[in-house]
Amino acid sequence: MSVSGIAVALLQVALTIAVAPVLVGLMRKIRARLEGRIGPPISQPWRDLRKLLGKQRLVSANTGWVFSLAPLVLIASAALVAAIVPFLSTRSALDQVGDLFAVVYLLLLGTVFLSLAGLDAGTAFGGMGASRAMTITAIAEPTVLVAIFALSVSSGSSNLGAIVSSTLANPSTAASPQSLLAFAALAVVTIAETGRLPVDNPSAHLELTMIHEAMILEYSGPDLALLELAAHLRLVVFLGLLANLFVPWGIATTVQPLHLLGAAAAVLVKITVLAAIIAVVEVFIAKLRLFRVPELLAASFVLAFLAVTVSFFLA
Amino acid sequence: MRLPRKIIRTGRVTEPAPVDAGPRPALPPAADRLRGSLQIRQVDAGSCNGCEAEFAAAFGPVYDAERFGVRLVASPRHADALVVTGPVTKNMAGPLVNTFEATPGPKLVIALGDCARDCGVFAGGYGVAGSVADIVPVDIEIPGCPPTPEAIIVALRRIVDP
Amino acid sequence: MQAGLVALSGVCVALALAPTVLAEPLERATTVVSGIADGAPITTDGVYLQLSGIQAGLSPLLLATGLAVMMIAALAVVRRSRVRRTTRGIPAWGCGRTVQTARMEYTATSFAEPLQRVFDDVLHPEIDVDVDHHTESRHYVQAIRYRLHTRDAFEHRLYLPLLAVARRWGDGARRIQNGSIHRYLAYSLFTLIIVLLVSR
Repeated sequence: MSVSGIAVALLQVALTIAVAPVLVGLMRKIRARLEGRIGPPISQPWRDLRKLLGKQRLVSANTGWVFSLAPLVLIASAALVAAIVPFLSTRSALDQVGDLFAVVYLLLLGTVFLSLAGLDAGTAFGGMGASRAMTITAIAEPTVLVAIFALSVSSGSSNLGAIVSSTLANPSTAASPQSLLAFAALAVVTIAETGRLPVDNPSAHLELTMIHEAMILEYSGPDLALLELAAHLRLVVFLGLLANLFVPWGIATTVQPLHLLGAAAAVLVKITVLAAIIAVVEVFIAKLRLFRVPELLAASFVLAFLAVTVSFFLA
Repeated sequence: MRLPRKIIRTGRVTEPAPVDAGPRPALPPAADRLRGSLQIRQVDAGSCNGCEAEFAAAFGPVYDAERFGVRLVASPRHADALVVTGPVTKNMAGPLVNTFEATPGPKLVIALGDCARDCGVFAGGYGVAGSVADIVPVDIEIPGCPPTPEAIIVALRRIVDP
Repeated sequence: MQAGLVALSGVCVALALAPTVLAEPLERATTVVSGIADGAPITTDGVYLQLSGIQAGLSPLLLATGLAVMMIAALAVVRRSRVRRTTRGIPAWGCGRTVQTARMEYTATSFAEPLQRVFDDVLHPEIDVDVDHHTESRHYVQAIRYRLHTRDAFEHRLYLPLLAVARRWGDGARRIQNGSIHRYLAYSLFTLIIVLLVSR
């Protein structure tokens, strides 16, 4: 574990935290423009976060320690994943600390704690959101595992740095059938796990249709700021993971500052393009009924399963 | 392909921000901390839904209150301001107080419409508990029956963009 | 019962944080069994775990440390920027519902209900809803009872049939050996004759 490697990891965390709210602001802006509105400024999520940090923190009498711990766990897990995933350099210090399985389960740890927090206050809508989130997660997780398995088989490693390096060494694998199938499967899971349309509506105001929002109805002030920032971070982390696993070009293979700067620009462009695609597509689709969501996730599981099968036959 | 074509043909429908011509009342001190970002929880305390229609129009594409950093939220825990409409009925007096207490400070209460300010035509009705100010402390009043979306935008902009 | 749970979960947490202590015993176990030993399955330097077959590494201890550091950093940021104090002990926000009792909470059944509905082709849950109406008018409901019973699919489709087959074998075996010494002598005689005939 070198000093420069740790510096890269910290740089990744700082970059992700700085970019995540702006990216969400950009997605809202794109949506507003397509709806014929002007929309809030791109920096609006940052303003909201700053204001929330200065607000009063309300803790209801029914809640326990899970309620106070959940925002911290959620933000810490998202930030740790931002440090591990090779956004800037394949020579990240934390590459040997956690592989793709560790990354996925760190993100799942956040999901589980958010659900526990939704249940903790004992309100009807919190429980409803938690129950729905766990239903979706329970169906999405097998897809993630199988898709990761397909990626690990073709590169002979489950370490993110190794997968990225192997794609860089053999560019043709990026367009191989197993890679494309795994990408499609993980893209569906990303949309489900980050609470975007058609699985969950990020701008829902009606409690009955909410999933993510229903779990955080009880939070206020700084806790809410942490939860919102964590949700933005998770979106960036998922998009960055998708981008760099399947289209790794632009990532630095050294830790020289100039290369890192280029890598940062490359990964920002990739994430912005993915986010813009999601924002545009969201204008054209409606939220799925809750019990149609498993069909979508089952389709993604089939894609992931095909990816594994193909990777064994073509290996 | 009909939707993309419609999006391109329609373009932007938002009108320029309405001009703030009237005298500016002094803002409560809590408004200082809400500059640039205001989350609103709307409470219908017994309104005829006229104010709701205009309030919803203020957040539609034509008036687009969101461009000033104002957003509607689903829980008073997330809110900075409560927009209360209608004369407060006896059934809604308790829930209104509960909502006020569930909102974290610094917070504002905005009485929207004539009924919220002084019970309007419902003054003295057997089911009316009083105006909003009789139940919770009101910081800002928006007159009108119902207030136009322009008036609502002007009042909200005085908070977020003074 | 709780002591047992705590002890087991303690062992789980300890193993999760320091799985490296098991690397050496595992290696010795695999060398004892001949045929499967192809070198050490896990190499470790105390902090990192490295699988030897494929290129994969992990350090649960560092992951946990990283998580703790990030949590402390987040807490520090929130504590520094907190202008207003925390208010505790207020009633929970029930979206307008003022009475908040334990009966409002999600139970285990209701929590798992969506998932069970997704998999109802496999689980075959039995659901009964009884609605009692007031005698004056059928428009008013007096009481609703909801009962849900899910039979364990594995138990009913796999284990119970297997047990039934085993029992039938047992019953057959019991009939041919009923404890009579004469019968056993007869079996021995017949077996001897068959063996003699076959080996001739």
